[in-house]
Amino acid sequence: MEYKFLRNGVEETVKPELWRWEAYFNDNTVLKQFGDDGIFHQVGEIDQSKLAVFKMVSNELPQIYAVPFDGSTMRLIHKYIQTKLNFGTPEFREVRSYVFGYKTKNLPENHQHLLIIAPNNEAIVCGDENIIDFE
Amino acid sequence: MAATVSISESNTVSQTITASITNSNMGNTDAVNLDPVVYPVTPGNRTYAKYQRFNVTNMGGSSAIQNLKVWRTSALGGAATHVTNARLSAYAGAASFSTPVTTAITGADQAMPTSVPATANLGIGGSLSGSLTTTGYSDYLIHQIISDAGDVAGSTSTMNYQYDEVA
Repeated sequence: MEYKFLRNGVEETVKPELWRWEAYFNDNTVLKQFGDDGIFHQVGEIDQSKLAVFKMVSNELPQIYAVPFDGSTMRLIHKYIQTKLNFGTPEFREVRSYVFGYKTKNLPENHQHLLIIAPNNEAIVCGDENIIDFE
Repeated sequence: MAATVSISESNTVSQTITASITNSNMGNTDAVNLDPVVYPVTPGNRTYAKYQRFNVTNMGGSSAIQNLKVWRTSALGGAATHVTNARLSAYAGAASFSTPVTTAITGADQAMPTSVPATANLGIGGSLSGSLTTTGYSDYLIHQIISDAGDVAGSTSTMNYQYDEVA
């Protein structure tokens, strides 16, 4: 299934991710990255002032990772790290890690709490995504 | 869907751009995807420099591509060194393309990292904190191997490329 996304008024199609976010708000509403209505949403569309729980879920795997969220003290982090390893060799592989968590407001920029879903789908809790050795 | 990001390479005086290169082999000719057995480097000489860029051809629903990192794995043979313009600090801005040569290139004098760098070491728009919010290219990654007169054939070293994708 492909999802629709409007970028500057131009429709694009987006294919689903293995891991996708879901944002649960204080008013009992939910915003899903890949919406049930076929619409794709960017993380920037999340109203963090109302965010209660940020989840990462998968249609193919049973695990659910949830981060309780308080918009008054936290700033949401969500990104992918894409790596091309052993480029140009028979051992070449392209791997994707899902990084999410939060920074604590009013603390140094590097004060963050992260969950990383590694390419093998194991979750790693850390404060710095650069500790991951992709080899 | 993931953004579509490949590595492109520029060659020749007319800056022939090849999208989605399949390897980063280096040797004694200015060519993309070259066969190093056919174009070996005479020990003591430099390879032709590579001018490569991250090439974003589809944002895939993401809002930004950023935090570019390049590094090498496996040891170089003998006393060879691998130099580049990629660096963690004092970044000199976006390098311009010049016809690849086998001589030293100003600014391409840093040792290629041998593990994933802690922070970006290749820029976008001339800045290590730059980002691409639509299709386009990163700054040029220039790199070149300097062989030593005592080097012998036999080692293989590979390149790795990484970026962050903000959805």
